[in-house]
Amino acid sequence: MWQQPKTDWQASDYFNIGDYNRIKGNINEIRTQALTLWPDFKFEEMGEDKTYQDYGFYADEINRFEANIDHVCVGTFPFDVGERQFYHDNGPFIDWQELNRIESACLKIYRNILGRAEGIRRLAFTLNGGAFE
Amino acid sequence: MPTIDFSVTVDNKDRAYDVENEESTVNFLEIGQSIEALYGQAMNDGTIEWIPGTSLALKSWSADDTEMDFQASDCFEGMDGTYYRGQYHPDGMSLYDMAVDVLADAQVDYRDYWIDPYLKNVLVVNPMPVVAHKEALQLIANAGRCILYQDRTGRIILKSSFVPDMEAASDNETYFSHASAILDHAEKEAYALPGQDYTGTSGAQYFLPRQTTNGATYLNTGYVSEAVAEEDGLFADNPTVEITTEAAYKCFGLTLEFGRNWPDTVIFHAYYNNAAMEDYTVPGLTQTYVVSHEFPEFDRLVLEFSKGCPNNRVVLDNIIFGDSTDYVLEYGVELTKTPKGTQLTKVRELQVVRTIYNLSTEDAKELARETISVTALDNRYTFYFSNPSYDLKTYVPVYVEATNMVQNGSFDTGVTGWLNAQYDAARKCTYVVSEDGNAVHIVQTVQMISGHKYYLRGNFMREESPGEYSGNDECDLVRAIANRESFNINLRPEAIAPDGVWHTKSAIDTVETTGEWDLRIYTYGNKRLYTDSLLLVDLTAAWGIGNEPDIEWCDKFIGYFTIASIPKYGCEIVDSSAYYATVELTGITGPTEVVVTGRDYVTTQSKVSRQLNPTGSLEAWNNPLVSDTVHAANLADWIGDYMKSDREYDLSYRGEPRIDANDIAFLENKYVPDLLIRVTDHTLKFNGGLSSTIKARRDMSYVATAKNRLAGQ
Repeated sequence: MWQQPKTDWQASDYFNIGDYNRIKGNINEIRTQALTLWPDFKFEEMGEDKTYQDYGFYADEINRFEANIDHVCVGTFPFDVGERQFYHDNGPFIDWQELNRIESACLKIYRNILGRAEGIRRLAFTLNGGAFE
Repeated sequence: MPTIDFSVTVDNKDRAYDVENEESTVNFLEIGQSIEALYGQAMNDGTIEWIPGTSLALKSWSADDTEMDFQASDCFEGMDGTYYRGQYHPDGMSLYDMAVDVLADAQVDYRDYWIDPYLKNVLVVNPMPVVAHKEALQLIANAGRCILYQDRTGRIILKSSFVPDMEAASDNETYFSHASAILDHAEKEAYALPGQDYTGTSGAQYFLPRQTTNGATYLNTGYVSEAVAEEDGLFADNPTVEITTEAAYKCFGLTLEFGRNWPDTVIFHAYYNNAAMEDYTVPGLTQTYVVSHEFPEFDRLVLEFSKGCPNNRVVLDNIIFGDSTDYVLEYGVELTKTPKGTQLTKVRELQVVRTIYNLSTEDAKELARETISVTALDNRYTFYFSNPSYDLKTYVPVYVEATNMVQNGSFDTGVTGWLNAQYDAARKCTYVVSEDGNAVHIVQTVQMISGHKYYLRGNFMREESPGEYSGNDECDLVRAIANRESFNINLRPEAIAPDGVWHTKSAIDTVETTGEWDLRIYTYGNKRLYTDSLLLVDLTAAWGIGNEPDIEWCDKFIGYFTIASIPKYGCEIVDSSAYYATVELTGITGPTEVVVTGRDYVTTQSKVSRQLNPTGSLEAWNNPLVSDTVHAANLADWIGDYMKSDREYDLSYRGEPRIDANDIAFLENKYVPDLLIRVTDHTLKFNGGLSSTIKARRDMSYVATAKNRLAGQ
């Protein structure tokens, strides 16, 4: 289920499990929509939603967000989504600027894919209820 | 040595206190009589608030026509007896036990002192030197990093005076938590956790490594609870952190430093010797929270978080202990004069001397020889030594010549001189055993004289082997011709139990027949009876008729011999230390020369140093109880902290009966905020109004980190 991305991240904002789950869900939704138009492409499983009982936000999880955006671009269209970042254990957590990049990229890709799906040319005709012999 | 001197002058109205006045209460005063002083303050509502002042012993008094003076001092003043009971303890003796022994020797009732149980864990091997009781206590206090004082009720207190080593742990922490690190005062790192509004996006937090078994490294976090608070802040299982201390610790406050989100409520459970002392609840916590509370003395403190921050774990970065005070000596408020500061000589290096005791390789030597007067009622005498000694023995240098009538009684080289004897080469002794249940004995013939008293003794051991013993054993002297059994040593099974262990048995008797007697070791038992060190002495021939010692005396004072000069009179050490030996004489009265022999310990010294300043003097600290390197290093740190405080203050202030020596307070200073001082000398005067002077030392030790945290609370 697509959720409106947050694209106005600031340094004073908190990154909560809702934000994590939203980004993950949106990337999954982008892939679902993309597969209606493009053949299957490489995509990394991003696991379950976070809960408060989880221990932490892990570097490999955020790296999968980054990778899947790249995979979508490779599998669909090379959208201009900025430069991918890599994160490491015990390294600094993702900051507000990168979150803006990721969520803006999601929004851009989603709108584009949605536009393409909606923009596919269709030939309308009526079968008129007659019987084929 | 802490001292309290107390002086009171009262109006000698109508010369009631004249020493010549027979009806005066002066005549009922006694030196050492208890004097209790209370300080009272009249309140606005007319009541008087009393606080205990001091409890002392009356020292002297005098009166003239107008005034009566009383002088009193603390209990240490009277503890000037000498402590001689110092003893070398190769396996260590606790300072606690040593202090108890000193106090018992000084005849202080156990209800009149309190010793920090921490001292039970501080072991020393060196003997206490010969010093006054009060000095012995001071040496113990110093070796244990304690302070020694008399409290306001008159009780002697020996209490640790350092922040003890502490350890923190929790059984409710995440895999990346470091509960033990909350005591290190270090700044902690924060991981990005899923707690509500916990993780920021400014890049100040870090990615948490996953839990692995291959030894992942984690950043220096504090305590992070496993439990997560529910929406209402409550936990299914309250997380706890337990802090155990090396010694009992009295704390007047502590500071909690939490991570980004802090819990709401903590309950402090204080324990001492596993007894619950207090449960103290602190609600409304903040990120840095100062708990201003006088905790009871504890050696275990459990922090139970009963309410957390909703949807968050408890993240506790640091707990900071340390004395704290809210007493401030300020200009114009407390101080009646400006403080006078003195810069003391700097100490460059502190050397703590270790004294190591070793056993001597030299032979025993004569430590004392003295002629003493012995009576039947007073047959004990104590000798004192100038050097610490051991391996003490005593004797009266009057001997009798005696011969062991048993030939080859020790079986060192075989069974020569014995009939029917079997030899056990490994044990170098003989044995006897019955193979078929018939009586068997080994025998030697001795010549005995009618009317003489004989002492027979031997070491016996029954073989330790499977199966029940059946039979009986005996060591006896038998007049073979008349076949008359004169006396014997009972070796029935129960008499030499357990098997496999040597038992010394003896008998004494007067024989009535002169001639050849058979000394027999006799058995019809099915287990071997080993025999060694057989001794038969003609007591009458050696001591003279009528002067023969009894069997107890012989057992105690006669060792195994073949031909020897043995002390005629019994003399033994009944009590001793490294510095004295109390001997008891038996069987003699009148002037008697007594000799005590022994060896002196060999002592060597070594030093543990601590650099305090780049320049200054060199100070050596010698506590003769200290021998261990770690112990000396701890002491060097403790004393070094004191010596680093090289500024002294003389203060005059309005007077405060609550202040004692060793209290800490803040002193207003233009250059140093929260300047901490420790009172070393406090003089309180009352003459219609209070006034006081303080000598204090700038405190640069661990409490120097204590801020005026209670101010404004």
